Amino acid sequence: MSNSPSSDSISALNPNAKTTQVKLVLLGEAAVGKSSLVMRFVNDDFQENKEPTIGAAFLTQKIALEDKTIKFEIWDTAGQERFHSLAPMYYRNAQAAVVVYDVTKAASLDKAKSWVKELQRQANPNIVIALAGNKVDLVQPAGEGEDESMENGRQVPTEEAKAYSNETGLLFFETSAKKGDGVRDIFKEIAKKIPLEHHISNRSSTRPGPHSQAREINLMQQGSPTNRDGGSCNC
Amino acid sequence: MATFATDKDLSIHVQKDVQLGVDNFFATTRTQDKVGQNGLPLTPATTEIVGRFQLLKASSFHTLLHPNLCDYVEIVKGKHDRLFVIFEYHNDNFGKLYSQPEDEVTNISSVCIDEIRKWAFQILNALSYLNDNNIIHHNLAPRNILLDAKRNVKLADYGFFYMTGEGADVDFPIGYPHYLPPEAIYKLESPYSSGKIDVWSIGVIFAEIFTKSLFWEGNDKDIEKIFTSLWKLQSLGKNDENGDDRNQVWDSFSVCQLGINEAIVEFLQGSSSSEEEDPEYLEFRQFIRACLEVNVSNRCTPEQLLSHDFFNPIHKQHQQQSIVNKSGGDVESELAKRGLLLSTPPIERIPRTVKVSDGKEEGTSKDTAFLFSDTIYTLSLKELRQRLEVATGPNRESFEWDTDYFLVVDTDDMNFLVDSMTEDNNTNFNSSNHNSDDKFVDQHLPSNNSYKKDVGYQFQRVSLFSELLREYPTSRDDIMHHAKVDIPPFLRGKIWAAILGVTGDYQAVYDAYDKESEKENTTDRQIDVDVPRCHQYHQLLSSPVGHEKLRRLLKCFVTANNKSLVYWQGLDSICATFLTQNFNDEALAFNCLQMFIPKFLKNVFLFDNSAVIQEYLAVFRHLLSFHDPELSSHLNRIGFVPDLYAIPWFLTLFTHVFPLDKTYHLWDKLLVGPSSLPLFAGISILRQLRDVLLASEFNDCISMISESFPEVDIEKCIQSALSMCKVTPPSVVYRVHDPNSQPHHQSKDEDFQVADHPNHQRWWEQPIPVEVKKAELAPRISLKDLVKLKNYVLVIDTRGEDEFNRGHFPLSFNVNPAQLDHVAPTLRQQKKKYHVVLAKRGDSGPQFANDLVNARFPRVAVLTGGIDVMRVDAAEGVPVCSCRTVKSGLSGSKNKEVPITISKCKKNLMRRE
Repeated sequence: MSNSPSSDSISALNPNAKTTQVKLVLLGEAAVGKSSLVMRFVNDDFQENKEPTIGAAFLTQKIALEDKTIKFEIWDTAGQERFHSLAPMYYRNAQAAVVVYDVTKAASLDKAKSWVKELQRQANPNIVIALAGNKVDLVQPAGEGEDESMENGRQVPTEEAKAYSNETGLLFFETSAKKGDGVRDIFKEIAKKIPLEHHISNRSSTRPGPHSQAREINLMQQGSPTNRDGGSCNC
Repeated sequence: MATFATDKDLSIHVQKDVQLGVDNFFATTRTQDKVGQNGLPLTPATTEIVGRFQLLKASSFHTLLHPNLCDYVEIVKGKHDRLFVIFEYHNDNFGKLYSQPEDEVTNISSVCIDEIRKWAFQILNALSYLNDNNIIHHNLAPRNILLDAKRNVKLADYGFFYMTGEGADVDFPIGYPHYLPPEAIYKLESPYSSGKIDVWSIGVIFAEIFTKSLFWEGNDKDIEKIFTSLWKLQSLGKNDENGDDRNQVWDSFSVCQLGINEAIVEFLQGSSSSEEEDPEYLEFRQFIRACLEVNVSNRCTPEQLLSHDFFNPIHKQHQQQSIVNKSGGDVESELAKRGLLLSTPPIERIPRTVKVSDGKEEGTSKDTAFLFSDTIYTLSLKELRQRLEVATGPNRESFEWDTDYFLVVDTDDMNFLVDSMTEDNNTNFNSSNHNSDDKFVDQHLPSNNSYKKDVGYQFQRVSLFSELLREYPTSRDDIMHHAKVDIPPFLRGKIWAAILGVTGDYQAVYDAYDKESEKENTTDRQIDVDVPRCHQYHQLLSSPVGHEKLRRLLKCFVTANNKSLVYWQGLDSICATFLTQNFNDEALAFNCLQMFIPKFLKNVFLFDNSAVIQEYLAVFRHLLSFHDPELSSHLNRIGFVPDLYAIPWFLTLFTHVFPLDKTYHLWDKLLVGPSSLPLFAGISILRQLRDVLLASEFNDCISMISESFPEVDIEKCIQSALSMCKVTPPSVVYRVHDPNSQPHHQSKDEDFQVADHPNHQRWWEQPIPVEVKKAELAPRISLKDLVKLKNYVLVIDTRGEDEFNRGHFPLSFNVNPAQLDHVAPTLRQQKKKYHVVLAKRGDSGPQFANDLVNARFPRVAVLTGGIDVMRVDAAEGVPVCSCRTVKSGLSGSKNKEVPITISKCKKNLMRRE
């Protein structure tokens, strides 16, 4: 985070830099804007009333840093609690997670916290987790004034979420998928935090966790050890 | 008899003098990024208008029905938020009484007081009916009071004020200032719900007609002067409030200075002529004065005015008649009129007719003068009538496509549907009475779309189904039969209901459930966030009315299935499909949903549905292997498993992945098909994307499916799903969680045998755990189905040679499973359509079947129960063969440690049917 490159250098992909594939999962309550965040990041676009995600959606996007290019392989999951049982399939081998809540709904932060707990307990121990408070456009004063006290409709104060993130060791951002604020920053900071040792050229890392695919197990297992003892692997 | 089937739009009568007219206007444009208080963007005005219009629309269920109202037929969205409203139109109207030059006043003189009385009564009757439905006209003028052939009143434009949210959704004022009362111009009070505004307009119009002079003097365009005069009238009316005699305003001298025509004032003041003696005339004057009561609080409502003395003659003469009229129905003329609405499918063509005028205006600047043009374009129905006469005439045979394609048999392949469909539905129809050769089917497919768009064809279909629906539920089998060919979009909602078997007092069923109370629970919150995101490109679903209806339906579903099923995201899309088909009949939409879920999505909406979904997806993978081994093998290799992409397909039966218009076509076939048909539709989709999928690795495959769903040709998808479904044995698609499918297709003989050993479940009759199913690529097949495959099947026996010789399936081949690479060419040479693996219990049969799939053998399955089931179920007509098999070695086998051999049974012991 110390020597953050200018945003110009980020947009240009460096052909010489090694491309690292990073599997990232989006989690969070329904209708907090997970799909919209991804759509902003991947297509720089926004759609009002975006239809709910059922099961999960998959998208990819590259981001270039000074020394490396990161290709995010993003699993955008369904928000409804009932689809919870599918989630482990998507976060099992993830190296990064973005947990999203809606700044206008206090309950959505509670759900985000429970996702963080679950990730820290059951996901890859080195997983980089970012917390994103979305929909800040709804609480920004219309006149572009910076007067925070003018905000109405906000239910989650920035300080509260920030303090929680610091405590828990998460990256923290407030975002607006609609206006684009903060969206690229999340992925940029995650990209920086992903250790270089995590380079995985094996495409199979994208695939969600093995579940009873007897013949696939071999391929799957190639991915996971690299994740686990990343520090020692210095190839 | 089910009430939805006796709906008015099912009657067939054609009244010749009805025409269709088109109004057009612009809705107000709201800035794109305006957001409502709930954080969601505001609904565009056009969408709100279209949503409200549904109440007015004549062809729906609980809609306005009154003999003195023109029917609204349709609303069409044009470019730039221009809306076209199509309605019943008559050439004659009050305006024509005016338009004659002075010397040709014959038209006006023919209006005797009796006729005025009749018209006034009819208008008030219609207005009173509208008021009962919370609609006020606010737009009355001579030009929109139409007259039909019998010179009865037909009000037009009465829904305009209502559908535009009392004018809020348009940027121009609604109403003609000449005919509006003071309070409407100055909005001094809020009389909007009372209908009193329209009473004033009636007063003005009939005063004009009676006196043959316009109410307001001078130039039509001098609206400002009228406004000033209305303001003065308003003030005069206020003074009136305390007076004993009501409406003295008109007797005061000052009204003479307001620019009101002298003749009108004279008439109102009763100072004109000898007619004064006539009591009839007096009553009429009192009536008009009552209408023109300046003070709103003193003015009567339309309903009150109906009992004015002026109407006494009508009340006396037609007391009975008026009761009928008021309760909404000159039934005969109503039915006669509706008949024409049957022709609405060609309404699709109407925008084209109208756009000529649209084009002319589009180049001009969009100031408010252009937002609304009160010119009505009439649509000629002459050509249409001619088409329909031809279609119903002697040439109608040209549309005889009425074949049950589910039962058409390809002479060189199986059709398992012939058995199952006829058993399931007790259909009396037989495929034999129609052409069933391949040629016919081939010719049929490409032309499928073109004839469906034919007006005459649609008219015929609509007539046919209308007739059948009136006979429902007795006619359900016939409806099923004809629905398999195609379903006319015009009656789709009702035909679906009939297919699903909705009967009885479904309204009461719907009414009985609580759907309004706000429970602060997660389900309600989830529904609340999903409804405004559900198919929002659809104009009805995106309207506030649509949101409300969808929310109610979903809450009702939750309440009704309280004990067993829960709301899963995706159910909203299923529900939306039924809602859009029955927008004005929520109860029917709900009952369709209730019948639909148990048949096609049994247990899918359980609180814990993972076992159901897992099995569904496993069977899906089996079927893909069965019908496209190459694709299945590739997708399996790259880890592109259905769990990652197909859950939204099957959880919502494709309603979440396709836009609604595609879903309708798909569902037309799914609803009349077996419950396994959706699985085949899924495979058809994959096969349409086959080339790309085969050339792609995991990331590209999954991106293609999930980023934006690829274009799929629904018509082809349905056809190929159907042909795969036909050749697939029922036991192959068997699911434990699907009550409609049967594991072993037991015949009566088998039942008898099972009764012999009531407590003994055979090892192969135990359900296969879902984990095992998921691990396998190929499905299982029952002995009964295998026997039916007869000449199309190659049974590959993987047991040891000795066991094979002791007993085997007739004509089967015995191979060593480890030698597949070597024996594959020989097996392929047999050119059989089906490949069934017969293995030892607990042996690697499924594994060998996987290998066959990976080696791209088509239609591979494993025989459930192996040789054991044959020994038990000899009654199936396949004795275990124990002939001396012929063993042959293959070339190149000499160098191997284990010689490569194939043993073959040469005896065909199968019974020929």
